[in-house]
Amino acid sequence: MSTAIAAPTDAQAPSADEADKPPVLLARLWARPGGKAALVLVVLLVLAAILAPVLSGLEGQDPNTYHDELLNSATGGSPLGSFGGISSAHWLGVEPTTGRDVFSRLLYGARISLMVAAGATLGQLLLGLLVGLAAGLGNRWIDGLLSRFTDLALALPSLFFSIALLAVVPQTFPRPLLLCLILAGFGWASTARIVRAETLVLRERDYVAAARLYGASTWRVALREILPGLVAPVVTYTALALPGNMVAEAGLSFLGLGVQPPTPSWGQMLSSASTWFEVDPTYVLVPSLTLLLCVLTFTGLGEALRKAADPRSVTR
Amino acid sequence: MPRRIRLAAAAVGLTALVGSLTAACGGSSSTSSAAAFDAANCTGGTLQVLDQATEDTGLDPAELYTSGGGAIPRLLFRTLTTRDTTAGADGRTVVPDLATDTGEPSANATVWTYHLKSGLKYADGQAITSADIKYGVERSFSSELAGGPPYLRDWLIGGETYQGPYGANPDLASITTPNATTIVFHLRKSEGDFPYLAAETQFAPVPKAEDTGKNYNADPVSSGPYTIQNFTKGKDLILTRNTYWSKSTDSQRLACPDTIDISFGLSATVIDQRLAASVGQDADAITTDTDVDAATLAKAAVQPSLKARLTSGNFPDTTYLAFNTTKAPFNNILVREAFSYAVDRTALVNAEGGSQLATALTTFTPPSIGAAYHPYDYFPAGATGNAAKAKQLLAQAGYPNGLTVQLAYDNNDPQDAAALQQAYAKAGITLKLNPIDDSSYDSVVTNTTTEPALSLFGWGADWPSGAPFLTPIFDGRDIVQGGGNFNLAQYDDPAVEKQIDQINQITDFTKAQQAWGDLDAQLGKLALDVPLYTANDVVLHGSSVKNTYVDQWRGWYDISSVSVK
Amino acid sequence: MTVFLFRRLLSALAVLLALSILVYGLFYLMPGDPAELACGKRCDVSELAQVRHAMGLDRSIVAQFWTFISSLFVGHSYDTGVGTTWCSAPCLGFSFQSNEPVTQMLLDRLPVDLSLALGSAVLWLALGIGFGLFAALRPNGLRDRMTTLVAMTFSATPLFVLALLLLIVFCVWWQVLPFPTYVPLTQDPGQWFENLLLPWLAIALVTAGNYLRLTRAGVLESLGQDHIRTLRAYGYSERRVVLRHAVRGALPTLATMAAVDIGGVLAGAVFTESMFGLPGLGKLMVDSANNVDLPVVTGITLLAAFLIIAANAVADVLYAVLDPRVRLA
Repeated sequence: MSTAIAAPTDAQAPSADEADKPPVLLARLWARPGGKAALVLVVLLVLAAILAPVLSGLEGQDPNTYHDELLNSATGGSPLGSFGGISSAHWLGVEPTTGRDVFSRLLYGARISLMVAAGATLGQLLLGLLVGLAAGLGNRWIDGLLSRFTDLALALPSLFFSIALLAVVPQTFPRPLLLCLILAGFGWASTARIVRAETLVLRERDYVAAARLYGASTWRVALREILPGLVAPVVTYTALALPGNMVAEAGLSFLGLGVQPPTPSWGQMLSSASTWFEVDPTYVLVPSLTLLLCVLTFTGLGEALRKAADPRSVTR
Repeated sequence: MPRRIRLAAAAVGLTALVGSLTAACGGSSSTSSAAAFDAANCTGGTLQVLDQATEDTGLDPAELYTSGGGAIPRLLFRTLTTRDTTAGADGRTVVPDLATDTGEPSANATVWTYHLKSGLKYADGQAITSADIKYGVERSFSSELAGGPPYLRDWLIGGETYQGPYGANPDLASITTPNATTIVFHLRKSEGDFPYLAAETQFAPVPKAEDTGKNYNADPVSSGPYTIQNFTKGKDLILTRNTYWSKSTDSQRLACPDTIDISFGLSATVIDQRLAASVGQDADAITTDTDVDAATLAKAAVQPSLKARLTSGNFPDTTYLAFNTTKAPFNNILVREAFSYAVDRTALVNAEGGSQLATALTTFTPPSIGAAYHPYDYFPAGATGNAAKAKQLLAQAGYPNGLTVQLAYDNNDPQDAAALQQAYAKAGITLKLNPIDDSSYDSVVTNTTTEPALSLFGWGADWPSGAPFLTPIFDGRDIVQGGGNFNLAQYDDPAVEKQIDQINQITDFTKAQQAWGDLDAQLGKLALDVPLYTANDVVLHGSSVKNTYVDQWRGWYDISSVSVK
Repeated sequence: MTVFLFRRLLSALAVLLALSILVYGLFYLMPGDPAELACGKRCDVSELAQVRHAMGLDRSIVAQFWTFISSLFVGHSYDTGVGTTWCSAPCLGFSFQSNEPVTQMLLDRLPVDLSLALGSAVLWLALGIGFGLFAALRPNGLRDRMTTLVAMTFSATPLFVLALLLLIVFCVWWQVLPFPTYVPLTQDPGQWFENLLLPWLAIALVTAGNYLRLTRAGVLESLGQDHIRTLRAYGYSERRVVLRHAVRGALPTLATMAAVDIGGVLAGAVFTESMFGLPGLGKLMVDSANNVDLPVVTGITLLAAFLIIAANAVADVLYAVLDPRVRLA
C-alpha cells in the first residue's frame, strides 16, 4: 500500500468512527476497573512466559533436570516432603517420578500455551477477515458460496476433527505449528460471520458509498474504508477467542495429542498430574489453577474490551 | 522367536497418557475376616476377572500366543506340560500336565516322546488321545489360524513347508502317534527347551470331529477344569465347571470358584479403581493383565489396607537401549562403552514408577530368569551415571566435543527417552528425540533397512530360560533381512552361533541355564546394548480373593489357584 | 409449517452430505496405510494385499465413497479374510482392527453418552434456570452480581480442570462421591446415579452459565412488558409474577439452546470419559484415534456432526413453534 496514490476522498470522509480506534479503545479499557486489572495480569502472564529462563534462573532450576534425590523411589517415585515437595529450592514442588521442577515447567509450559493460543487466534483472525470481507463485499454468488461454506465449517464437530488429525499427522510435523493450524482451521468461521455482518453494515455507510462513487477498487475499499471500522468488533471477538484456543490446546495436550514430552505444556502436566490427585494434590492444583487463572484473565480482558468498545451496552 | 514384550505400556496404551486416574474415592474396602485359605476346602463362588485385553480374536488354542499357557486359556486347555502352579522361584519350572512326565529326549535332544495319563476327558465326555494333540499342533501351521509362537515351524522337521491339516498334504510326518497315549516329536536340531514349548496352547488336544476351522475360536472344546458358558468377544466370558475334568489327573489346577466371570476391554484406570475400592462384586475380583500405577503405590504407602492387597512378582523381561552396530557411531565399541557408562538408571527406574515397579539392570538377562542370570557390570555407571568416564571414552573415540545422535522410541512411551536425554546431556551426548508412532514402531525398528542407529526396545521370555531370551537377540543366523529382525545390534559371530548350538543340546535344564548365563556374561563385554531395567509386576486384588500370588513365569496372578470362598 | 419443515430438513441433509464428503476425503488423503494398520505387526505382502482388497482400498476413492454412502442405507458385506460379516444398515463401515461393524461399536457405547447427556442436561437446566430466576428477582443487587460472577467463572473453566477439581473436593476431601465407574441403568439405577453424579456436575457447571444469563435477561425483558404490569397491578406477588409468567418469555431461547447443547454434548464426553474411564463414544474416539482405526474415527466424527446438525434443525423448529413472532417462510 503506497501513500503516494492516496485517494482524495480521505480528507473528506472520516474513515471510521473515532471511538473505535485502538488507542481510544485501550484508554477506555484502562478506565474500567476490571479492564485495568485484566490488562495488568495479562501483561504479567506474557512477561512471565517470555522471561521463563530468567525466572527459573532466579529460582535456580531448569525445567528438564531430574532430581531423583527428591523422590521416594519405594513409594512409586512420589516427592519427598509435604505439598508435593515444595521447598525454598523448588517453589512449587517437584514432579512425581522425575523430580523435575514444577515452577520452571509451568513457566516454560506458559510459552507453549500462549504461543499456540496466539498463533491460532491470529490465523483464525486472518482467515476470518479474508472470508468475511470477501463475502461481505463480493457479489451475490461469492457471498452465497462463502456463507454456505462458513455455515458448513460452523457445523463441524471441531474437537473430533482435531483429535483425528493430530493422531494421523506424522510425529515429524512440528506439533505447535500443527496445533495452530488445526485450531485456526476450525475456528475461523465465527470470525468470518461477524466480519461479514459488520461489512454489510459498513458498506452502506455514506463514506464507503462515497469512496466507491469515486471509483476506488474493491480491494482499496476493503483495506482503507471497511477494515478500520472492523477493528473494534474484531479485536473484541479475538480477545474472547484467545482463551478458547488456550483451553483447546490444553485439552488436546491433556488427551496426549498436543505437544510431545519432554517439552512442558500445561495440558500434559494436567494429564500426568491427574493420576496423583489423591496422594499429591499440589501437583494437580498448581497447573489447574494456573490454567484457570490464565483463562479467566483473558476472558475478563475480552469482556472488558467488549464493554469498552460498546459503552452503551448494559450489563446483561 | 520370542514374543517381544511391550510391558504394561502395550496394554495400557493411551490410558497411560490420558489421565488414568486410580482411586478408591468414597468406597471403603471391606475387610474379609473369613478363614484362611484351605486348598482342600476352597470350592464355590464366582470369581470376577477385570481385564484390559479384548480377546476379540477369540480363544482358538492354535491362534493364542501365550507364555506358559496363559491365564484364562489355561483354565480351558490342558497341554502336554505346564508351568508349576506354585508361588516363588519354583513357579518357573515346567511340570507334566496331560503327559506323565515333561518328555523323554533322545541323546541329542532332537526326538521327544510323551505318554498321556489315563482317564483324560474333554468337557463333552470324549476321551483325549495323542492323535488329538498331534491334530492340535498341525492346525497351528494353517495360515488361517496364524498367530501363535513361531518355534514349531522352525524346530519340527518339515515345519517350514507344512501348510496345516486342511490342505492337500494334511499330515505332518515329524509328529507320530504310535498308540492312543503316545506322541513323538522329531526335531531338525537339538532343543533342550522343548518341554517348555510344550506348555503352549498349541499343544492342547483338539478333537478333529469338532474342528470348525476359523470359527473354533468362539467355542473351543475344553479339556481343562472349566468350559465356556457364554462368550461375547471383546466384552465378556463366563466359565462354568467342566464336569468331566478330574482333580485326580490334574495336580496343577485347584479350580476353586464354581463360576468365573471375565470382563474384557476395561481401561487400566477402571480396573485399578474397582479393585482398590473392592465394593460389592469387586471384592471377588482380580485382574490377569493390569499392573497398578505409581500413584497407587504412593497411596498404598499410607493406606495399610490397600497395601495388604498388593502382590508382586516378575515376568523375565529387559528394557534396553539398542545399538545398530552397522551404523556410525555405534560401530565403534568405545562409543558404545561411553553410552554404557553415562546411563542414569535411577532416573529410569523412577520414571517407570519407582523401585517397586522396576529394577535397574546391568546384565541382559534379568535375575527373574533364574539360573541364566550371571551378575556382571563391566561398565559401572553407578546409580546415576559416570559422565566423566563417558567423556573420556568419547574423546578417545574421536568425539572430544561430545556428539549428537537420534534416539528412536515409541511415542506412547516417552518417559524413558526423556530420562535418557537429560542424563546423557551430562556426558556431552545430545540425544535428539525421534518419537515413532506406536502403530508402526515395531515394523520400523525390526526392519534391517529402516532400523535407526539407536532405539529403545524391550524383550521378554516366552518361557523362563536363556534360550528364548538370548538367541533371537545375538544369533547372527537370526538376522532377518527386511522385517521381523530382533537382532537389533545385527551382531554376527560364527563362534557364538556354534556355542548356541552346543547349549541347545544340553538336556539338563540347570546346566543349560548356567551355559546361557556364561554366554550372556561373555557377550556383555562387547557393549552391544545398554541394559536399562527390568519391570516388576505389582498387582491388586479384591478383598475377598484368597491364595493370590503372582507366578514367576509370567508375572501375573495364577488364576487357576485363587479362591473366593 | 410443512414447507418450512421440509426445507429445513433438506438443508440439513445437504450439509450432512457435504460434511461426509469432507470427513471421508480428509481421512482418505492422510498419509499412512490403513490396511497396514488393520493388518497388524506380523503382516506379509500377500496378506496386506488381501486386507487392502477386503477394505476396498484398491478401488478408486469415488467408488469407495459410494460404498460408504450406499451402505448407510442398504448395508454392506465385509470380507474379514476368513468369512464375511454382514454390516446392516445404517452401516458406518467396518473396523478391521476390532473385527466389528462400526455401527455396532457405536451402539454399544451409546447408553453411556445418553446417560451423560440427559443427566447433565437436567442438571444444567435446573441450575441455570434456577439461579437465573434467583438473580432476576432482584436485578443488579448483590446476589445478582455474585451469582452471575460465579456462573461466568464456571463457564470459563475448562471442563477437564473442573472435573479434576471436583474430584479432589468430592472424592478426596469430602469423600461423599465415588470415583465414577459406569454402571448401566438397567443393572442398578442407584449405582448408575451415584456414579454419574460427578461427570454430570462437571458438564452442568460448565454449561449452566449461559442458561443463567439467558433466563435472567429473558425474565427482565418480559418484566417490562404490559401484561406483566397488569399482573402486578392486580396485586400478584413479585415471586409469582416472575416464576409463573415472566419466565415464559425466556422459554423459546432456552429450549433452542438446550437442543443445540445436547447435540454437542459428545465434545464434553471426550474429556469426561477419558478422565473417568467411562466406556462411551468419547473414550472410543480417543482410543481409536490413537490406534488410527480410521473407520471408527470417521464413524464417530460423522455421528457427532449428525447430532450437531440435527440439534440445530430441532432448535430452529422449536424456536419457530415456541415463538409466534418468528415468521415461517
